[in-house]
Amino acid sequence: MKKILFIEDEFGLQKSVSEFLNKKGYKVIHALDGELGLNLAITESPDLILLDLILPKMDGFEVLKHLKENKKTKDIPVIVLTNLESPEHVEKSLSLGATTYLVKSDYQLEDIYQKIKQQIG
Amino acid sequence: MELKPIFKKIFSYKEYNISWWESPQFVFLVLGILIICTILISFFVGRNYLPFEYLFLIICFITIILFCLSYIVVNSFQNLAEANLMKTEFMNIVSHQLKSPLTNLKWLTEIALKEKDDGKNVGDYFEIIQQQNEKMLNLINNMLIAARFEQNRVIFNKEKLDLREITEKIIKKFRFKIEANNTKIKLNSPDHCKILGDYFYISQVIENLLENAISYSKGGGEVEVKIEKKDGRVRYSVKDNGVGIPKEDQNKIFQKFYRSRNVLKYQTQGLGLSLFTVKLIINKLGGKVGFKSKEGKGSTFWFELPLENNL
Repeated sequence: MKKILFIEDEFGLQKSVSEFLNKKGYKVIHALDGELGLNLAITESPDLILLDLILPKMDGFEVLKHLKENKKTKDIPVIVLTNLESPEHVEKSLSLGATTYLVKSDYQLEDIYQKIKQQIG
Repeated sequence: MELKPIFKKIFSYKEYNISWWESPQFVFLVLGILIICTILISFFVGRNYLPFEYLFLIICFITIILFCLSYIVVNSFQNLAEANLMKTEFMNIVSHQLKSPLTNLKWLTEIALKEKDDGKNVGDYFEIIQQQNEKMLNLINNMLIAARFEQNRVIFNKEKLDLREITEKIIKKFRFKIEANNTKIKLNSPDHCKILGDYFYISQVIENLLENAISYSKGGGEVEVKIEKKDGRVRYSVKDNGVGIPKEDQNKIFQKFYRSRNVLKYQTQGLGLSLFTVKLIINKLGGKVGFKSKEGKGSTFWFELPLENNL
């Protein structure tokens, strides 16, 4: 079973996405802040990371930077899933190594699932 | 002398999203040219009719008046531009704060509809949908209350309210949040504790205090709500063992839109309006509000109001 790490501080969003992805056959592990997310990425070696940008303790950009600097995590595909939509945020995320940038409110869960499927099957 | 800050100031109109000819700097330039022209015309016309000393005094007087008027006009322009920028930033923040629960409503509805089509029970989803709805309402209520107070348009209903009953209802409303944060809630109160007040506003006060305590508690934290009757007054306190407020931030905690640096580290959601509205409401009801807090140890927020039979 493929493993997804979902780093998101909003409990409601975390719950709905996880439930949906569980039903699609993925194992979802959560982190409510950036620091914990980074630690879990190193210890759990997920197949894919869903990353919010506004996070307590360590923001998403910082997490992304550390993920791409670490040998253990640099090859894990990262999908940024956020409600920030300015071109600067998109550009910064992609330049730091994010695979895809998705604005939460623009997508249905089914679309997000398709994007995940493209990356890890 | 550093030229960079001067250039930055000259081109600061770009930050306000206005054209150069609408900027306070341009208005200042135009008014300056007008003043110089006025002085020169007054001098060349006046020297044919008045002795130099009188002319000099009159020109000085006109110049001072014109400079004062220009200062007022340029300052007003600057304030307007800043207010406009703040309004845009505020709209950005509010939209972002509303986007999270709205996105969740969209996704939950998507899951619930799919489950319903598959003939499954969707009751649980409606509870989460209700909770997200409440979250948005709370945010909007705080903004409305702040606006009403600023426009002096607040009218309180005077009805008998039981603080214990309201608290129990609100704790029930927060059950998902309490569960998610793994917070233990203790209610320490007499069976009934009645005050005269407005249900909407008093509920908002309790909701804000409780929500803050739960949000800023560390995982597995404890929140204690204590209601005490003393000398014809009721003291309502909410104690948490959360992140606390740094000493240097404590005098700003009731200010509008203020969020402590410490708090931002733990909770990204919030507008910085909840304690501001708590203070406005309790003061208007003739009560007192206060807190004690220690960084890393937790906070206790309290308010005091007269008991119903004392009014």
